[in-house]
Amino acid sequence: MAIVFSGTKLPQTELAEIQKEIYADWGTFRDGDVTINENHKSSADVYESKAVVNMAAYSSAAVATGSDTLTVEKTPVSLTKVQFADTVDYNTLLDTRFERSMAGGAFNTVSSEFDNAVLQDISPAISETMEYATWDGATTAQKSLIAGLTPGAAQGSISAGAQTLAAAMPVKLVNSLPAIILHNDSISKVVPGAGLGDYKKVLSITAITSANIAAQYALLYATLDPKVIKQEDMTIYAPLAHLQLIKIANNSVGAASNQNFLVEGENVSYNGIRILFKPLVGFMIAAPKKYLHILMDLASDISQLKTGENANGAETYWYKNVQAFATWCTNQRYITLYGG
Amino acid sequence: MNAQKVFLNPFDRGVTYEQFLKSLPKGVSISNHLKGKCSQEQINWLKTELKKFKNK
Repeated sequence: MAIVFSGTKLPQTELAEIQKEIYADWGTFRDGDVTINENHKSSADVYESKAVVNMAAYSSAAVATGSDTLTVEKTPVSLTKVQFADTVDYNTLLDTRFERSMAGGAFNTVSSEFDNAVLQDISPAISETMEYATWDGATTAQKSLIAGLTPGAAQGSISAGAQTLAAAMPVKLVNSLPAIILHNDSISKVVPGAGLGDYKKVLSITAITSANIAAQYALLYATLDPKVIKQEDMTIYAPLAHLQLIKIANNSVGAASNQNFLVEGENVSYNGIRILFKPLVGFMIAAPKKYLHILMDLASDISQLKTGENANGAETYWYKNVQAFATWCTNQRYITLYGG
Repeated sequence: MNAQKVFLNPFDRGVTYEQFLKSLPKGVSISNHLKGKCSQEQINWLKTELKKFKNK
């Protein structure tokens, strides 16, 4: 006997769990992998100091004016206020599984399941966006300034490769650390004011693969100012993919295989310098953590999400996250930028 | 008497790519010009750099 069915066939079951996107957290804000400076609303003065002393022949006479210098320089850094905000219309969730978690009454369209399973992903998504903004991207103005620098091969000039990387950076409302290292208006540079950063660059670099990663880290290491190597917070900030390349290189097959990197669980280091993997594109930064800064009003602003119902009878809701943000670098002569 | 162009080492501080390219004798490749003055590694990187510079 044939069964005759007329109508639309619909799925009768569903996966209990909503399958979620992965929101990466690379620890920049959570672990303070760079220096997070709080309590700044619109701008902050950054002070740098330096003492230069001169050895002189001993004299028991009264001390006269010499040529020692104690320098204190102040650079104002502006924070950019940004927001993540939008509206939510729960009515679009009608005729879906979320309808089941809406309270009775035609007015009630807020879905608790949607809030708990989907809307709450906004905070980790904001964190991830801020992580990316910290390590890659520049404002349109900053991109123009970097493009306007005169390139050269030697130290003290930007490489054409760095300009290419900066030109390819995504346009953002804030500047990433590499963008600010390349060009800034610090008063504490050799040439104070707007222009090329005082960073050291690694010469003769190449595209990094598992086959040459050890050699390229050796180049980076050799470029470091010897004064910073023993700094407790000395760190190499490397692109995310380097973790895989390092592990592949360390486990390569063959008689010539050398373990150039120390990998202990989550901790990876090269010649005693810890490596932190960040969403950098093309650049590596080697610097004491204390010289790389993020300025914010409150670090907790990153996870502060306000929500509410829109006015005048609208049955839509809003959410908003607000942050004040800037990246900055100090003691730039001790920052080495691979790709710079 | 032919005027000799002064050799500009592109890896010397202050030398820009524009200045280096101008100092390059006509018909001489970068590799030949820098042979013995820069390492092969430096020459290779410089060639990549100049390609990017010219494409700006």
